[in-house]
Amino acid sequence: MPAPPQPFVLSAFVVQLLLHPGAALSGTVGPALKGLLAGVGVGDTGYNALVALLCFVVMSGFVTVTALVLTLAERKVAAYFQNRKGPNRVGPWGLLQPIADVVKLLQKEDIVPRAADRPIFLLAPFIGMIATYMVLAVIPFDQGLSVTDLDLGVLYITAVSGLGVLSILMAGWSSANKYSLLGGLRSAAQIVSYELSPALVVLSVVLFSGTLSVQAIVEKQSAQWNLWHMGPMGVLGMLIYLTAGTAEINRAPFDLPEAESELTAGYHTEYSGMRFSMFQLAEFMNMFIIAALTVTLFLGGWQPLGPLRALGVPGYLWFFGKTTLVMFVIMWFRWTFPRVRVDQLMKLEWKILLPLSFINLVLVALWAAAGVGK
Amino acid sequence: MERQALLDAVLALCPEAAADNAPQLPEVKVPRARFRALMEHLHSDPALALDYPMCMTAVDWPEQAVITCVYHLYSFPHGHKLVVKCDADRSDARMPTVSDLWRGCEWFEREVYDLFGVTFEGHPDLRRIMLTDDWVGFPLRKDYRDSRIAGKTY
Amino acid sequence: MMNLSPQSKDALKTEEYWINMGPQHPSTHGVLRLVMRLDGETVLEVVPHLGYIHRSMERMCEWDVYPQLVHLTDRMDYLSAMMTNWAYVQVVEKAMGLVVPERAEYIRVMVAELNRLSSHAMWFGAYCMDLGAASAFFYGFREREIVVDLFETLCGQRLTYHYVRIGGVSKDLTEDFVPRVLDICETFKRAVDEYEALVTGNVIFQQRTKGIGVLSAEKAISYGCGGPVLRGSGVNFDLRKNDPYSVYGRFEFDVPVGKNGDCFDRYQVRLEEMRQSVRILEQAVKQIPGGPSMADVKAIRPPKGEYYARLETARGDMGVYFVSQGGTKPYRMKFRSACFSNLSCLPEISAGWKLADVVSILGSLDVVIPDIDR
Repeated sequence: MPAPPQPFVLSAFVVQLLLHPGAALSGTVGPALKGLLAGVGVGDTGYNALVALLCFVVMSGFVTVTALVLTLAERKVAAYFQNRKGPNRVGPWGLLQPIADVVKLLQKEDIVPRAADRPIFLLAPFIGMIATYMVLAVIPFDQGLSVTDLDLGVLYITAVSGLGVLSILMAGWSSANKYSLLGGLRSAAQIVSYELSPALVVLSVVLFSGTLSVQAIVEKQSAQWNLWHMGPMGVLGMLIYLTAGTAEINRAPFDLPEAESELTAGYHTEYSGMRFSMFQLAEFMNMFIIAALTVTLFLGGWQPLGPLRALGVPGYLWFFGKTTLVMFVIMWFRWTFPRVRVDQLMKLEWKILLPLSFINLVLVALWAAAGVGK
Repeated sequence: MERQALLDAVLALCPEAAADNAPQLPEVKVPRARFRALMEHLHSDPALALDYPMCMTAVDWPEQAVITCVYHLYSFPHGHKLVVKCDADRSDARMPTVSDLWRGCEWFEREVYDLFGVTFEGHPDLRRIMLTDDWVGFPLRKDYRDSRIAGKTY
Repeated sequence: MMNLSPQSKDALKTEEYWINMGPQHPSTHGVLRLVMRLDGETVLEVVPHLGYIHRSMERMCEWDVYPQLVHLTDRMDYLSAMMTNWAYVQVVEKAMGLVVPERAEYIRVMVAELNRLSSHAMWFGAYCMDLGAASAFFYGFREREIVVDLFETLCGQRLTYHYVRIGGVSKDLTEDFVPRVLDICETFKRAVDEYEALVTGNVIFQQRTKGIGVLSAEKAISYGCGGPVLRGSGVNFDLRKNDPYSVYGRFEFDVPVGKNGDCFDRYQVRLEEMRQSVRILEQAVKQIPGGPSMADVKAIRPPKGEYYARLETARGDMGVYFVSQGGTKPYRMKFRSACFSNLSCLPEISAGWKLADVVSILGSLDVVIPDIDR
């Protein structure tokens, strides 16, 4: 017998939405919407379709806002590292700078080279965005607050993040430019190589947590975050993941395929205006995703730090706070280190990171078998 | 090696050379036929060991109808300097190359070719270095005229 | 089954290709065009194309009087303009037997060493930026700015100083010059330590510079290289000590010498040179006498003859050769630029290295293109 519906009190609902949005959305908003649609005659399928559409809209909004904020954040962080101030003219502290950038990009001419392979050329930026959206869908921002909770979340993430490579190859190939092709191929080779170590590290976390579901991995970190719960392998795993993740998103110090714009330009040279900004958006969102995944796997996701649980700070604030910290570290890498040469890059992955991740996996297996995780 | 001893050594190697009475650095003037042999000796002789090309250039003397190639050489082991000069005919300016002895002269000789028109025989890659490949004329020659340059007298 | 051995007709063929770098590119070296023949990533041949900023200064020298030519030398190696001025001025003075007042000699030494500091600070920033550590550019410029401000107070100019003139210097020192020089010495001592701490020990930086672009001592001498390029290859030769001019004999300073002749050694030599310049400045400030700062010189008419003198600029061995017919204008003026000879070894030392290494090697040679092209 279903429980009698509780009376709806707006203030209580708002408090719940702020503190436990996952529970508020699935417990109150969901059934209410279902009821509303049932009243109009729309069944479960319609309800699911509407929810999917709403999620897509919200995610798009989130992606846009985050990417815009990140462009400004990157410039400000870079500036302060470089003993200067960064954008501070457009709006206070340059807060309206991203708007100015968007307006500028929107009014640019959309150039498609005549020799370019048109359908692939036009499609390439969007494939990158599709991969980004697909991975974002399974990241939990708070308890129960993710677009979907797949039982094989981790496997899905590893599989889908390969789509980004497709976008780069398509862009490089279809540009009809020798140097774009070379840059695209180099980028793709780098990304594909650097898929391996993170996959193994993620596998070690899965082994330790005993589940492939991303939500469950976070929930299992309620007592201790994986970073210290997994012992020294936690630290090693996180370092490998962060390093390989930075290489996977083609960011410095591993951005030679792009920074080779000293002579060969990257895969996105021939793109202009909004299409170019799609690539930039995808790059910033990838940075967010790598940070979010690092936080989810090692830093407890939306879980608060054990002793501070009593403060009652909502989970999503913890999540965004930790993700911001990791993103700051990734930006810190970019503005501190010189670039690694391409063959040194490959050597780093195949001769150093990959063996290390194998060793990490074995050690975690032993650690888990010794009953530490239980 | 001090100045007079150096000049004596060079004259011993090449009696046809003339020691110039220069106020600053010891200078010798060598006829073109003996030039290459002398330069090889200057480079390889351990007592002289002039292994560093300080400067290499040319001076145009239209009245004497020669272009003098001037080589300033320095020796790292001994610390002495020598200036070697050799005249090339203005109408058919040719000189043997020394770019295999002093690698720095490879580009010095290209510059002299570019701006004076002296052809260096045996040079591995003699083409213009400062001006575009299709430039006509040799600007540092005293008789170079260019209608694009207004108002300057030569 | 395809037979992929090189001899069979199914074999995968690789092709060499030509790549063009410049004349405009992000590194701040100037307008230099490098055409490279590549096999994959490996550079087989580098062909530099010069002359993009050839202004035929040597021709211009034949139609101006001697004092007017000082401003031309500013615009050659503009990063060490004081020293380039001095190189030209010194040979005219030697020709005329002009005695420069002692105070002027000390001033010349001080501004030359300050110029060396600012030139090396900028080189440091540009080199690290070439390698990808973009933040270091601002650190180098922060220090350079202090020196340039001092020069602006002294002679009104920030880059093309035209300060060292025939017979002395154009203006005497301002009253705040000496305290500011002492401040600069303290700043640069800290700054060079900071640069060492940030960059020298960085593994990525070392991988990009150690063992790269090795120039042996014999080749360095044969190519006519000077300055840090020559000293990096292990040749203990500094014109200020081995062929002394002006009052350098009165100062105590060391000459840093490298061991292997690779990019890292040249980098270290320049950093150490900055420390030695600070030493010279501290001694000069104590020893500087009073007196006039410009000799009483009327008409500049060097006697008939040919003259040569050389000087240690920040980049190497700069020489000036001129032929005088006894008049007020030179008959022939030749500037033997340090960078011209330094760059001539680039094709040999970069063959066989990777594309990214050519950038590193070119940066370590520290060339200023207007000096090469004149």
